[in-house]
Amino acid sequence: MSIDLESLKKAWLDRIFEGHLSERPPIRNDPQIDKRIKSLNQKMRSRDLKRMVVLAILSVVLPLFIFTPLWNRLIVFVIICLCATLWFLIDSWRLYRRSLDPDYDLPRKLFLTAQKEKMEARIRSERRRIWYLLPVGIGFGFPFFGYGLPLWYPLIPSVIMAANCYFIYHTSIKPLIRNVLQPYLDAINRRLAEYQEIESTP
Amino acid sequence: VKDRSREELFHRIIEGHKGLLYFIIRNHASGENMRDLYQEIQLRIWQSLAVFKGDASSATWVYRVALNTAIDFLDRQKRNPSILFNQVPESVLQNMQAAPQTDGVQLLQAFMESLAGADREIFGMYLNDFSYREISEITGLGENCLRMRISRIKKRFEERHIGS
Repeated sequence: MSIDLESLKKAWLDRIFEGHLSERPPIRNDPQIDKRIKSLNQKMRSRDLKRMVVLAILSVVLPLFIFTPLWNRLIVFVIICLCATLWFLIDSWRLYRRSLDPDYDLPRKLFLTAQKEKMEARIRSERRRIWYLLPVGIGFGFPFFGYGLPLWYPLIPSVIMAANCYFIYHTSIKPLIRNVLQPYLDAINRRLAEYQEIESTP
Repeated sequence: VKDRSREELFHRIIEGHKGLLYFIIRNHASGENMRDLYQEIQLRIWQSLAVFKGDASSATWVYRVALNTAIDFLDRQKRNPSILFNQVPESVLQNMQAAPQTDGVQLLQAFMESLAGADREIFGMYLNDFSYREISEITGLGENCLRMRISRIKKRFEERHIGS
């Protein structure tokens, strides 16, 4: 005896749309759902927004050093910090804009392609983070120039700070890429490859 | 979509397509993860409603959002196993888990689970009675290659179960 797929399919459809499912309490019995969805939505964005606000404030405050007597000594440090801050700010803004796009209603293939692009951008951005951190670390010693100290003295705080930045990069950013972002990107690539395989099979 | 009508639409969509939603949830999560996935799907439907144009049937649209969310959820599970909300009624979870099944339905379920990723997605849509055009709208794949793929999956099913 062979099994008729069409009649099984009918049984399947009956099972899904009738019986136990109609007994399920309607979602509107839970009046807080919209509030919770909205609050989660806000939480997801607030972190990025906070970071951008802090960076925006820094990029305004740092140039104000020009009006202080410290200006001459801090000039290089301020410029380095400012450049790193602005760079970081622009990058954060780009990531934030990308995360706002509600693209979950795209067809699967386009969705996967969009997710892949987002994830690659995120990984690139995380990798670049060392270049925002290092200039700040290196610039840390510059204000110590000009006190009649030997020239290599300011290098000590610079080296310590730069090493700190590198340590942060190695212990938090690199593992994030290796253990979290890259496996996710690999999973997306595997799924995209499946779709491509379907399309290319004659 | 304005907030008020968006809210109404949201409730109508969740209510009207709960069968499809639970099908996707059951096929992409188990145990406690079902709760998380259910919540995440609701969130994504809510977010996507803001840009809902109505150019696809609501079933196709819901399936697309839910499937994208479910598979994204699977892929992300390792990197962010957080619980989004914790107030989904227990009865909803119990209903999702305790589905009475006939032998035929169990057979289909087992066969579907034996399929690999994309084949499983496509066969799931076929079982839920989506047309080739609708499956094409959901997946972004051409109708012709979908026809071929589904006919191969059917053939595989028949080969496996003929004489059983």
